[in-house]
Amino acid sequence: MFGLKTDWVLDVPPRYFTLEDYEGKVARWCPGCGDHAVLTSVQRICRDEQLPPEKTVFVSGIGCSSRFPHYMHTFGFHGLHGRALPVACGIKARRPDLHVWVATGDGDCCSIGAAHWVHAIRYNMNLTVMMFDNAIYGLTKAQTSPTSPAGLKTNTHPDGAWLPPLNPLTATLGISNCSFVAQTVDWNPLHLHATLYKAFQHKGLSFVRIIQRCPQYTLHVYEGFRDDPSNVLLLNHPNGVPADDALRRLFKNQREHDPSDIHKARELAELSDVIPIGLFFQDESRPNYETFTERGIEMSAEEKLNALQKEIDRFAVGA
Amino acid sequence: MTPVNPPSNPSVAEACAAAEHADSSRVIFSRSGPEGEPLLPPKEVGGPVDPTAVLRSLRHFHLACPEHRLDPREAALEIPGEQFLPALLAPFRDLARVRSTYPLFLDPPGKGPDGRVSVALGDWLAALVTSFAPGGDQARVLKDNLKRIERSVRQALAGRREPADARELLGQASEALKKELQLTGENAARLEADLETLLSAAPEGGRLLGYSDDATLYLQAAVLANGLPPARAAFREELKKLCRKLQTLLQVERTKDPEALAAEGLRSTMGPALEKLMDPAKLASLAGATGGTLAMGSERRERIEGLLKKLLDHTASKDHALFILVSDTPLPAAFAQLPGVRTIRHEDPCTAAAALFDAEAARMGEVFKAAHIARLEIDDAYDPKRHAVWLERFGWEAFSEEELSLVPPVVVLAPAAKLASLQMVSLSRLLLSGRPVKVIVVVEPAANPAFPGDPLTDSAKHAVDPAAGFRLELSYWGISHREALVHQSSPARPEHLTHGFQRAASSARPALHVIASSEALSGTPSPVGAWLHSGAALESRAHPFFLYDPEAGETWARRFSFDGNPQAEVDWPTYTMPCRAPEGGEQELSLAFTFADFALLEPICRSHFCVVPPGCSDEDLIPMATYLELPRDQAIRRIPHIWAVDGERRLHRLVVSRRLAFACRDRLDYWHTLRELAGIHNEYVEQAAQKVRAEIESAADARIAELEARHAAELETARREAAGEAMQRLAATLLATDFTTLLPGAPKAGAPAPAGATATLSTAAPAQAAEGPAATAPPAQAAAEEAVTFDEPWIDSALCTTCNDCINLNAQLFVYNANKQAVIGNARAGTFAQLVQAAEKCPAHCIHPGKPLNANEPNLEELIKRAAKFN
Repeated sequence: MFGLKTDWVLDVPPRYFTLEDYEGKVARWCPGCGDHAVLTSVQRICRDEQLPPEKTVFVSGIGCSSRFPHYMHTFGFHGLHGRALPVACGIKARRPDLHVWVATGDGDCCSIGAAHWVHAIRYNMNLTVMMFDNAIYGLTKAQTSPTSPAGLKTNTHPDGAWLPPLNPLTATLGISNCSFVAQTVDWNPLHLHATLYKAFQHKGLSFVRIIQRCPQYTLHVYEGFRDDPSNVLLLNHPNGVPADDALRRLFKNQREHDPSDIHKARELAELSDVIPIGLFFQDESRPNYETFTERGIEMSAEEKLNALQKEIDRFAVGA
Repeated sequence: MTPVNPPSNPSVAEACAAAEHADSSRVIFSRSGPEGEPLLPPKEVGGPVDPTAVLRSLRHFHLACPEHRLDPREAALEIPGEQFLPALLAPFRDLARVRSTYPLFLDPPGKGPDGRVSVALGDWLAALVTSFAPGGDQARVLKDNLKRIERSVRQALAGRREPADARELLGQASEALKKELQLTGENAARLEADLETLLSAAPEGGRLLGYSDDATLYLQAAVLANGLPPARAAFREELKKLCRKLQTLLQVERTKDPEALAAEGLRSTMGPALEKLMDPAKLASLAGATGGTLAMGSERRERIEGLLKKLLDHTASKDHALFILVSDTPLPAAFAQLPGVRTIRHEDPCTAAAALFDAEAARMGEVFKAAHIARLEIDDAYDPKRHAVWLERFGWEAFSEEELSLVPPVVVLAPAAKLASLQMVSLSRLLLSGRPVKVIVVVEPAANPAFPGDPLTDSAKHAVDPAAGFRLELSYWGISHREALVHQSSPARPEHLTHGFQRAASSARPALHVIASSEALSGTPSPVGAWLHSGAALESRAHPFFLYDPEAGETWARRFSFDGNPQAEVDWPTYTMPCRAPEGGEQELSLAFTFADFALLEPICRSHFCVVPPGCSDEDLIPMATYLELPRDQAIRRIPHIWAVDGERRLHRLVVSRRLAFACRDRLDYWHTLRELAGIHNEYVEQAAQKVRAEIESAADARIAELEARHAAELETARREAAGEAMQRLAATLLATDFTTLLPGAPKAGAPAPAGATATLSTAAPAQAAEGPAATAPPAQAAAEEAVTFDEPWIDSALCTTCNDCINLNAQLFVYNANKQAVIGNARAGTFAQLVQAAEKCPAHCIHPGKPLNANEPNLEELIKRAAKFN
């Protein structure tokens, strides 16, 4: 219209950020650890979206992957074990303008932090949650985690884990007001990047389970899936994780899945013989809790005091 | 979101199905910036306002001429101030954010008559970078920051009306970019190298042109500079060839001179080398014996010498104007300094242009005449008695099209107000004369050139009223001259403008270019900038585009092109605009952009509007587009309004005066006329289509009726035959039936067939099943992909997980790319053993060691074996 093209706005951000602008300390993860791939992918997203570092926060709990904030040159909060999500929700509640990412592990999220996980999913605040699932407590040298497969020999279960593992996908998909669930693998950077990008663009809490190899303790758990791509099921859909021809060629096992179908998503999440990767479920129409918590943000200190005074005055005993 | 207004035109819904322009989305581009979408007024307001009294005042305002003062007893009405903009243009209030087609990159001249003249800066920069960095991640930092370069160039060109050297500006923008980004290390080095490549890729002689009314002249110059020099160079080459042949003729003639054939003459011709081989004296006696050819007459020799001089003078002359510009107004100084452009000021530019063209044509006519005679002389076919008569009358009318194109073009530049009054007769004569003079008329889209005020005192801009009388359409008047090319356009759409210029330049006809001025009538800058102002004139049908080219064909449909008009199939372009409701939430307004909306951009027209107070009853208020659709006797009972946005992003309805509403109707009538001429909603075409449709439907009905009758007859016949046949079969079955089988204990009907029969059937199935997979199995070679191996080591970088393993092994052999994924840095900086070790350690298995580059490396045999599974 009026001779203008769709890219008619000549807005130029005041600063330009390169990949190096998001690089914090040198990563001290083990060589071959899948966390390196996630870190690079996230840094690329930050660069491509030109996220101002001072407007970006990485929050984590405890574990190998929870060292993530140290390696980003942004704001970060290395929290208590299992408490990454409540801290992130607290930040988002009063600073909805910030881009908040969460790095949490299978132990951090699904064990000690399980209660927070449930409620954070229900709050559906605009967070990008990366759940690094290496099926082991790696930082503390190989204890059984909630997602350790049955039979996995660990320090706490030398004869092998007794119980079947917890499925983070079915658990998340069962929580009310859940709005985004996806799964990817660390050994395919193309899919990993596309999934995290999709999660970042989602308005609401995007929960991404990243199946990640621990080169020290659980390398063998995912070896069969990594070496034989036919053990991985690629989920395709125009509204799903974008996959170009190069990516599709890598996976012979593919299936169409409409991410608006939560029942089908739950069925797929139950699969155990293959690892389904892609977007299981997305619904951006679900309410975000920060639209409630951000109320009154623009109030001045004086207005807040007056409002508080007014509330207290309700209990005043008349003379 | 809910549309609150129905489309103002019933045909809009149909029109939406066929978008005309790639960029003319029907939804306004909702990037309103941090302020958000405009706010709708409340439907009800409390207070002492009497809605009936307000409506009465609005009606009085609408009916009274805006010059008349409102009755002070009536409700106070507000005339919109300069902060009011048509609602559809409100998102573009911040001009620094608007990325228009300009600046333009002007290609270096000499690309030929139909070559590209210009391209938008953004598109040019993107194409330039892609030319040397086609991959998505190549020159990443530069690509990410092209908008910054574009912004720098725009700022450098702001307020500058003439073109600037593209390389120079690009160099300045590159330096500014480096300072702005403050990059360090590898990123800085990459950017530096990419910027250098960018500068070297920019063609020499390219220029960048910002937007102003002068852009028309520069684009006209660029079009002529593209087409003329190659044609002139070709003609000069031809003249040089003619000169050489004429010189040869004279040379031959000189050799026939007796002195040249004498022994001395021959000796000097042969030179000392040949003299040793031949005796000049004996040769002279032989030449004399043959007698030679007839000598050229002195008259012919003098004629050829004269021709030669004339042609040599022309080829040696550098004084060939690119074009001659005649104007009755002062021209920009920079334009007069352009190489090859002669500027002449004359109070009657059309008459002066005709005389100038005649003079130039006469001058060039002498050259053409000489060339014609030279060609005849070379063929020894020139006969003064036969040819001189024709050549004496060899004026521009006798020029071929090629010759006419070599005459320096004469271009007239004049404002419409003068051409439509005092100079109208001379313009008409010029257009009828057939002289290929190009006339550029600058017209103010909001004004009526027929009521220009006093052109002698140049008070046109202050005296004009867009609502005064029916508008004189100079382009429509130009078409009445039938054989002239008529082109209505604007520099805001450079492609349309240059296309018209190119057609005119390649045509040996007079041309009339009616070009929209981008300046407001008051002479003050438009609140939406000159470029958008000009675009708004096109959208509002104040200045529709067309091209009437008599050379395009014999029929009107071929001659008349209506390209470039947005949503040409409807009365007014209609867009959907997001806005905020006063009670919260988002809504959409469906708005037509009418001539009244455009008039709001003109300060002197603001008196034709008044603001509708919030909460005013809207039973009689209707959008202007709807008002114009009503029959006139019904329209007069209603009050038309447009939507506008104030400086605080609040939407208001503005009532439009009846005089301005009449002007809208006048523009709409003209639009309808042009549209009919273009074959859109043409009454004749629609009648013919209806007639043909009726005929087809009638024929189809008759055919259907015929088929139905035939079908019914066939059905009846089939029914009769089937009944007879059924009876026959029944009779035959009854006759053949062995009724004893119906007795108890007899085999039942439908019982399994004898064993032999089933055996035959059942054996077929496994055989078929066995064949199935064999038949459908793909050939082995199709299933297996061809294994490809490489001698050089390589990394499938897209799969790299950035685990650092290879980098830690050898940081020169393995390096990271812009995405921090590994690539081979220097393949000779490490050993084959390191490559194999890295491939084995790589968790993504994306390192392929290839074959050893150093044949003397120890343990190669073992390493090659280990490397094999990674290659």
